[in-house]
Amino acid sequence: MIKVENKLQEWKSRGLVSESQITDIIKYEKSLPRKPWAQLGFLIFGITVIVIGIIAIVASNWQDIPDSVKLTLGFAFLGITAYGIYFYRDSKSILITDGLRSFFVLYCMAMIGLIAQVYHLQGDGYKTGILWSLITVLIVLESRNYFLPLFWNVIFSLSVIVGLEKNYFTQISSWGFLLLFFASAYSFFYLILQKKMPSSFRKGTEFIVVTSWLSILSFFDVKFIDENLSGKMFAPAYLASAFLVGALFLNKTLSKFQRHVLIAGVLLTNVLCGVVEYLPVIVYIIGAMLSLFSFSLFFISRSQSRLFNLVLAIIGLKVFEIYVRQFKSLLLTGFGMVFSGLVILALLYGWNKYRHRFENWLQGMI
Amino acid sequence: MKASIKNVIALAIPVVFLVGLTFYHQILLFTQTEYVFAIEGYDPRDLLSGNYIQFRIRYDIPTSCETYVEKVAICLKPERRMIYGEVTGCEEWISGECRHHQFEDHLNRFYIPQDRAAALEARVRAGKTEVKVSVGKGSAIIKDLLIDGKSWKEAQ
Repeated sequence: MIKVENKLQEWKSRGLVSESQITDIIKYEKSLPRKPWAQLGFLIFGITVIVIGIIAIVASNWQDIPDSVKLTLGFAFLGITAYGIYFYRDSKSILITDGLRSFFVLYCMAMIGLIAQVYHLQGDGYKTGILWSLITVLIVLESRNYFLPLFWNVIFSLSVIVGLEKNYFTQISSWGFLLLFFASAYSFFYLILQKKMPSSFRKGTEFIVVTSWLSILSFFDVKFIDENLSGKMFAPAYLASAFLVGALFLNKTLSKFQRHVLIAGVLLTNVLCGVVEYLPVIVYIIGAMLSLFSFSLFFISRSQSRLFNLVLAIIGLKVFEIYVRQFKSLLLTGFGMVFSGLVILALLYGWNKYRHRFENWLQGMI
Repeated sequence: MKASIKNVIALAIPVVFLVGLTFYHQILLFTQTEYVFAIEGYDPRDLLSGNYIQFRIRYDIPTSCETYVEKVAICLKPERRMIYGEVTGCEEWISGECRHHQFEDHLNRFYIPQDRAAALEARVRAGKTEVKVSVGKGSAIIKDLLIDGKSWKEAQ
């Protein structure tokens, strides 16, 4: 709404619309039903964190509860959630329908873990990811918000990539280098050529540019840390990133705020890759989250809800990673995640109540 | 197709699959022959399913593979031997594959409570543990971890 009002004032100053027309347009826009995409993103993010916490609690081994009881209760809860989705299928509230679907989809992952624990099953993680993706795809397709499909895509594509890497690629260092170099070089040429691209091609290119940067932070850093690789091997990729930062400074289509948060995200990513071997793992992960947060500010400023939700999904996984690395106990990790999810939902409630004050403040920045 | 039927199908697929997966493994546990094998191992952590002991089963026959072969099995009845390719002349066997020149049977984990992990791992390393496996025609599921012949839950 702020963007519409700003645009209307601009047009009025150029004599394109009258004051009465502005009033009528604003009245009409306010009457339209709106998708609260940012709120949905945080709602589903909070639910995701809670469900991951429940998964961890389940995984902490309940010695005193018989396996038959665990499975019976697990399936009973699964059935109740499924019925809740069916019962509220026609609800106008996206928060209810997509919230329930998100919980159900993630709870399916918890059930796979429970079954594996009870019957002592094992398998490569990527196979579990692909299996989960296949059984939940139809529910994800019914989602009205883009966050759940994006989360599903992240899990599915990561599972496929890991599967390919385990079976066909053995040098993860070459993957990391190629990805950083690709992201930097592709972003540089995108910025140079974007004015000459057709609209749909530009959108597709933007998505690849963005997801390649997010992939570096969300996936390869884990392998990078665990395999104790050196940042020096990324030197040619740093050079490509330097050209990218230069192009960002010179780009006139982005606002000052957008350029600054993008440059911050790119520089922080390169710094983290370069010094990862000298940092404690927790510091590296928090640095990666800050970099991701920079990108999320950029997406909010451009009202790019899908990419904003994608970044939230990745930050959620990073939260889980922090707890797992910090606490050796899965039970503590689980309770920590549930607490974090409740905090996020409380923040969302606060946002709902004081939204207008925050938007006025943010308008001054953007 | 009506929206309500689509909803039902979308919800039914994961529920039916997970219930079916559970029933499948439960039936295998009830109907297949039990074997007890000695084991040796170490203790990592699985993020999704909790702590587990990781081990390798001792089949008392050579289990190294000379080359990478997709289909490999260890026959248990009438006699223990390794079979490459299609299984013939064997009544009960465990299917697997060759990885890094070693037979991989995917029977390497037993999930245990976190507070018992260290103690049980030490017993496994000391070579005093066995595992009870339910085996059929290619399929195998771990039933129990035995310490000095007793279930780990009863062992001190």
